[in-house]
Amino acid sequence: MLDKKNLPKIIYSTFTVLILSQILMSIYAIISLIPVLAVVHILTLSFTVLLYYFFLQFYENLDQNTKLTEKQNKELTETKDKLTKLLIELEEEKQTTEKQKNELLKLELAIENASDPIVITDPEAKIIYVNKAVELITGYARNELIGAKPSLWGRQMSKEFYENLWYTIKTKKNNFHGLISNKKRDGTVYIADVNISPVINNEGEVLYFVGIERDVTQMKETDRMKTEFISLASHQLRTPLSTIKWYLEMLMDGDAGKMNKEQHEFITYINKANERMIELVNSLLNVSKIESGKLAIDPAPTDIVGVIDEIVTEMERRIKEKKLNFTLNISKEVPNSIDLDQKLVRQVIANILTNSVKYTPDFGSVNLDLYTDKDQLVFKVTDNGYGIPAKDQQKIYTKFHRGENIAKLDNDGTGLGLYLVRSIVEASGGKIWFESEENKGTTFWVSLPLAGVTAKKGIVSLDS
Amino acid sequence: MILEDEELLLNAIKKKLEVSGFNPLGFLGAQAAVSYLQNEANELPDAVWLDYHLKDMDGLAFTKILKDTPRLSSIPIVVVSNSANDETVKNILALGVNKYILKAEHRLDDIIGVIENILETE
Repeated sequence: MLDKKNLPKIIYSTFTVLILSQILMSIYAIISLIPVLAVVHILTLSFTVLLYYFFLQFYENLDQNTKLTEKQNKELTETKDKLTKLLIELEEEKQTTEKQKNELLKLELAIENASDPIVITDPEAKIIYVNKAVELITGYARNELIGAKPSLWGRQMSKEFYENLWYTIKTKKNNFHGLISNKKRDGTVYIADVNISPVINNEGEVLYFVGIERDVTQMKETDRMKTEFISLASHQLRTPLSTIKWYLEMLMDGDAGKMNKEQHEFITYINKANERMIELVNSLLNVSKIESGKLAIDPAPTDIVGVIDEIVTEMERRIKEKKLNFTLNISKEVPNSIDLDQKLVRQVIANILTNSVKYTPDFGSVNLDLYTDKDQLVFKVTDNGYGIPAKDQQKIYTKFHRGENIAKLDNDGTGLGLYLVRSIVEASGGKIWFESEENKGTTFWVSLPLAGVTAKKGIVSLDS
Repeated sequence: MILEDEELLLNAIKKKLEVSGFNPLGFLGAQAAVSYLQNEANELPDAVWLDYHLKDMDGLAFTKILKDTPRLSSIPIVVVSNSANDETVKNILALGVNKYILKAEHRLDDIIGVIENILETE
């Protein structure tokens, strides 16, 4: 089949041949002076030219029409594509909206069913939303709560407290966090751990306040009971121990008459065991205090060299008994006064030094160095004693753990000393580390900030 | 004068004080001790050994009574207790108690030494 595009070319060639041949024939007839033939050829030529002209016109129209249709088709395809794209987009948008709707619903359900009460108020504290937990905890129904103010179940704190709360969230536009006593509809007062955040728009205006609270009454009660237990145990356990201690003391002093050698020996053993029990009770109480998180850290300017001297004096008898070579080196850079909790530092250093003295065989050596390293005050206790076996090194700070080698040597320790030491050091913002090799010796380092230990309010101190 | 609600402990303290040359007067409760002290016919003690946790009154209340009574306010008080938080110790020392001693940590001899020291400096 002839291609449309080729058609004009074929016609053009045909006509060109025809026209050229007619021209040649005409010229030939004119030159040959045959008038009739010349007229015929000129007429035929004119007719051919005319025909060619019509053909040209016809094909030009045809071509233009074809081009037009192609353009229209292209435009139509483009429109179709655009429409399809739009439809896909629409479908996607529909899905996104659906997804967002589901997300919102999920969020709403989560807030509505959260176990902690959640309240949303307008900037004037008028309640616009409460979740189910608010109804449950306050005892008020939703319709009583909406439109009311949180003071409906509040008003248990001082005027200044609420003024400060409003100043924080409304004027300063900060979050508020604190413990608040609230009152239920039935009159029961409960303690709530409350978080209130202002929701602020781009202009910095408060749109809403979102308050989340948690009933911590039970937790507070448990805390109180724990503290009470510590106090009760310390009193109740120490009374019989003191009784035994003091009667044994009188027996040993001969206040009830002189005992024979064996009686004295037995009483000494009982006394030793009792002292161990006192130490264990003290350590257990200290552990309990530390774990209650209520250990107070009360730093005051401390003459640390003086404290070290006192500890060493207290241990002198043991050191002499074991004929240990003891050295004390205090660097000149150690300041005269550092803000430390003297009681806690004493406990730490005395504990580490006691371990060294206790677990170094007779005629061994124990050194205590006190120096500064950058911004730290460092205590270093070195001995050439029994050391800590490699397999025990990971566990030395674990409660009640005792090194295998020393547990065989004596059964005097509680396994609480280093646990307490580390807890105290870490609570004071310091560090403790050691190096040890069995039968070669141990070195312990304790570092505390030279700038002083940060105070921490608590209700208990060790050994009280 | 000794205030100690644990009878066994009270007897031990009395015995040790007697051995050390004192003439101790023991009370198991604070009310009885207060009645004794408030009776002007009775001889005043040189010092008071006070257990902080008494069944009928705490050490703080007992100390307040003594310090608020001019005739009794100068009697030295040594608190010997089993437990105390920092706040309690601070409060009672602020009232003018001479010394606060933790019971199980000390030998009777040591505590009597503390009392003798106070009496010597008074």
